[in-house]
Formats: sequence, structure tokens, C-alpha cells
Amino acid sequence: MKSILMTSIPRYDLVAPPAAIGILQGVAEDNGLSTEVFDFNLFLKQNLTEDEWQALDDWCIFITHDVEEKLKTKILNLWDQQIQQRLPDGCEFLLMSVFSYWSLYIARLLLTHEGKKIRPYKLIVGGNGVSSKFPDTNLYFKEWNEKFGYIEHLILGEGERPLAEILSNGRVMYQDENIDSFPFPSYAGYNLNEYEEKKVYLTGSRGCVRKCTFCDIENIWPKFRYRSAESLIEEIRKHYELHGVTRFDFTDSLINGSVSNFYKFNTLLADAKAKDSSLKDIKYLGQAICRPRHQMPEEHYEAMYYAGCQQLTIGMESFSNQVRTHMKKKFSDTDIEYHLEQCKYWNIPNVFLMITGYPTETIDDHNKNLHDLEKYKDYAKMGIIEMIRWGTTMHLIPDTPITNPKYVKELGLEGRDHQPINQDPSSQYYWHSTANPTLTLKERLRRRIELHQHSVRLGYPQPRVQNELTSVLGMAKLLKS
Amino acid sequence: MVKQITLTHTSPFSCVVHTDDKLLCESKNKKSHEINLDSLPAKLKIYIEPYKIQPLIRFDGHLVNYGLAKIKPWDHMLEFTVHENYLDLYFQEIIEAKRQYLSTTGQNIPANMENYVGVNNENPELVSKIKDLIR
Repeated sequence: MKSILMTSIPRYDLVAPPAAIGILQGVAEDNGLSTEVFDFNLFLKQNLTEDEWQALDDWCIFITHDVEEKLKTKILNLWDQQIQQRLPDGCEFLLMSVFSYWSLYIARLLLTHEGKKIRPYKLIVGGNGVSSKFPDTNLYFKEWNEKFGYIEHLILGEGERPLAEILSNGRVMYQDENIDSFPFPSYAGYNLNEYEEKKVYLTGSRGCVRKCTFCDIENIWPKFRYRSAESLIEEIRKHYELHGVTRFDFTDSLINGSVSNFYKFNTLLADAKAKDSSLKDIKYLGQAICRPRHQMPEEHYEAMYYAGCQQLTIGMESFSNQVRTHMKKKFSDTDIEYHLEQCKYWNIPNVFLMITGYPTETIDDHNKNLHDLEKYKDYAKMGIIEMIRWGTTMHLIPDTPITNPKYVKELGLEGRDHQPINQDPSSQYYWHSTANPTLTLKERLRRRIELHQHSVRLGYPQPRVQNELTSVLGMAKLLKS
Repeated sequence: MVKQITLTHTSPFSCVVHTDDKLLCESKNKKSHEINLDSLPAKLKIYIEPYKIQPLIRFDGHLVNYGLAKIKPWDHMLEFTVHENYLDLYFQEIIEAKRQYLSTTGQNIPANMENYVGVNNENPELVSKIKDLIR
């Protein structure tokens, strides 16, 4: 029997088994392969020192652009030992999931190493990260692979159909436009107890219904597609029955992209729980967008409550309507108030994701952020704004709308010392706008600190602040260099 | 200050409400009941029929969790106190519940409080260093 070893690499969270491997393992099993899984991300976390892990993390998120040779050697030795131990009989393929932009450097390290080895398997590499550019060389992953040719099968875009083509010699039964045709993810081989929480990821949709200026989701999934509510319920039942999992985290960019389908999902899940008491502990959480009342009336929130919605992560980005309009977020202050009121009524906690220092943000917009923090502070005490994250100030990510020539010209976006943006990796955060000249990096950092202190004073929980402020400190040091 | 408590259930129920052991109001055979409070703190005993139901309870429209709001659900009665500073107490209970959750899962380490709870994290030293650099 043919077999495949499927690996995931940093940087990915350590909370649950990686969704991508679950999805691809489902495809491999569906195509008759024997599978083994190896979470190298988790393995490194368990086998590097804290300092080494931190150095790796800084490298992954481009705070540094290299790590010490000693650490690279250690990582490669661990990789080799583990791959050798875990390689299943008859292994024809080693699959590596490059989860995101933040996995690029370590993927290049491992693949360069693999490319030079004599090995019995072929490399299959995919994931969101392979659509990106290396910040240090400005080469797209695909260009890099064309130059060196280490990878036998590079999968750009979503993986189900291309992987099935490789594994089945072209006899593929899936249709990309109908994601219900894909097999259910499989988490066989994972010890769920090794992760921080016993839960699995669930993918209900691909893509987004918005085209926010700062976001690159459209490059990965140009069209929004979603699974039927019935299929999602069936998958939840499967993981519950096989692994006893009651907690499900949606990987979707937004779970309410199709309002009608999301409502149906909630209604069906609530009904299933009402009829079968063994399902009563099932809960879910996910990212969502804030919508106006006419799109999500009261009964939609009620259905979410009875279905077991435990948390919504919402990209509010800014409390300034002007800033959100430029971002193309498409919701108003009234919509935020309505959303919070409904979440309060049905006790649905939210994590607000915010952006400090968007290119058009004026001091009035910043003051609106401070003002609305005060206005909504009681929601924090109720746990309805369960957490707020102000991030590490606005980054100009390559290949997002905000970095296209139209916006660059309109906003007068320039990197450090008037260099074109995208030229130097540091211009992602060390930029300025000639159309909004007071919004310098220094001013963005000042606003970020003010928002942090104001949030603390008002009692808003803010997770991972220490990491974020450490990154902000790194940027502040750059100002002095 | 909390002015109104509402109790809602999927089927009709009746309740007799006492505050500080004095009868405040009675309300019969409805799916939703409203209790108006004149002053706080208010020690509430709500005798319910049928027994053993646990209606949704809202403080001024906020659906509260029984555990966090310290609502004792007896078979025949719901017993709790509404304090003037209920929001502060409720928030403290949320944080304590999260701390205990991390503790029972063996994750009660400072990094996890920082990563998943996010309180007591003013980080004055980091803030001060950043401020010095951008001054």
C-alpha cells in the first residue's frame, strides 16, 4: 500500500492539530493511501529551549531575517531524526504544509536541506505561504522553487484537488466549486491530548465576501464558497463520535459570509442538540464580520446562542467610521452598537481585532478609538468584548489592495528614506504617507502605546500584549538606528 | 445600577419573587417575567413552578451565566444577590474562572494568562522603554 508522511511546520499555533493536515489527510485516506502525521511545529516547541523557540518565532515573523547557524543545525538534525523514525513503509511522498507567510523562512531552510538529500519519497508542498514572497529576496515561493527545483509537487492554492490528482494519477472526484464534494478532514494519528485544548478545526467556507484593503485573502481564494449547513453538522458528529471532541474552531475568514447558510447551520445544530442530549456540550467559535440589523436580525443571534457559539472574533479594525470606510469594511457605528447589544442579550463573547495607524487615520480618528473604548467599557466587564487586540501597528503587506499602485499613489505611501514600499522588508511597518504626513512611524507607535494604556485603564483584557509591545519596541529601536 | 431582571424560558412558568425575604411580586404562567428593582443590593429568592427549570436570566438585558453571577439553582427556587457593582464582580468571576480553567488543564503558567486572558499586563517597563525611544 502506498503511504504518505504529512508534516506541519512553524509558525502555527499549538492549540490543536493543524487544520491543513486534517484536511489533506482526509484526501489521502479517501484516495487509498496509508498516512502518518508529524507536527514538527509542536515537536520543536517541545524540544527547543525557550530562547531558541523565541529566536525561531522572531525569525518566522520577520523581526529578524536570520537565525544562528547553531539553531539551524539543531532544527535540521531534529528534522532528519524524526523523519527517518516516522517514515511509513512504502512512503512515496513527504508532504509539507506551509501554513502562512510566517512559515516561509523555516520552509526554505527545510526544503533546501531536503532538496540536497537522496530520499525515497517525493516532496509535496502547499499551503497559503507558498503564494507569498520571501521578504528578504523578494522572490515568490514559486519563483524560488523554479530556480532551485527542490520540490517535485508544488501546490498553489487550495490543496484537495491537486493532492488527489497526484495521489490518484488524475482520477479525481472533487469539484473545486463545490466544497461539499471534498472528504471530511481526518485527525487520525494525532494525540489530541498533546495540544493545549481538545478541539479540532472546522472549515465551513473559503474566501471572503469583503475586499478589505489591508487583506490578502482574495489572492488565495478569489471567490467565496461555502459548505452546506448539513455537511457541517455531519462533520461535527463524526469528530464527536470518533474523538469525543466537543469544541470546534472554524478556520473560515468569516463564518457569517453567507448569512442564510450560517443561520441554517445554527438552527440545525441547535435542533440536533435539543434532540440528542449527548451533543449538548458541543460549542464552536470563529471569525465573523459585523453586519447590520437587516442582514442579521435578532433571531440569528438567538440561534447562535442555542447552537453553542462561544466566541466571535471580529475584525473591527477601528472605531472610526472614516477609517473603516476606506478599508471597505462596510459597517457603521450603529451596526457595532447593534451587534454588541445582541451579543450582550445572548451572552456571545467577542474578540475585537484592531489596527493602529491605518494610512488614512488622523488624530481625530485616533481620538475616536479612545472615546469608544470608554463608551464600550461595560461590555468588557460583561465579557462581551472578551478581549481586544491592537496589534503591532499597520503593516503594508505585499500584494494587498493597499499596496497596489493606485493606493500607493493616492496615499503617497513611501518606505524609509523615501524608498518605494515593498523594496525593503522593514517598509512593511516603517512607511509614511505623503497624503497624511503627520502619521509617521513614531506617531503610530505613540498612538499604539496610548491605546494600550487606555485599554488597561478601562479594564479591557488584551492577550499577547507582551509579544506585541516587544515588537513595537523593536520598531522604536529602528527609529533610533 | 441594575434596574430590571428578566427571566425567560421556552415554556410558561410562574414565579414568586422575594427580596430580602419580603414578597416583591408574583407572576404567573408566562414565558418571560420582569422584576423591577428599586434598590441594591437586593437578595432575591425566586420561587418557580414547575420545579427544576433554569430560565435564562438577564440583568438589564445582559444574559448572565449562573455560575459567574452566583445564581444558586435550587429545585424550587433561584437564589442570588444583585450587587451595586455587579459588573465589577462579574468581570472578576470571569477572570477567576479562566484562571481556574487554565489551572485544571495544567496550563496555569503566566504565559497562558498573558496569551489567553490578558489582564494585569500594563507592562510599564516595556512602555517606558518605548516612550523613551519615541520621545
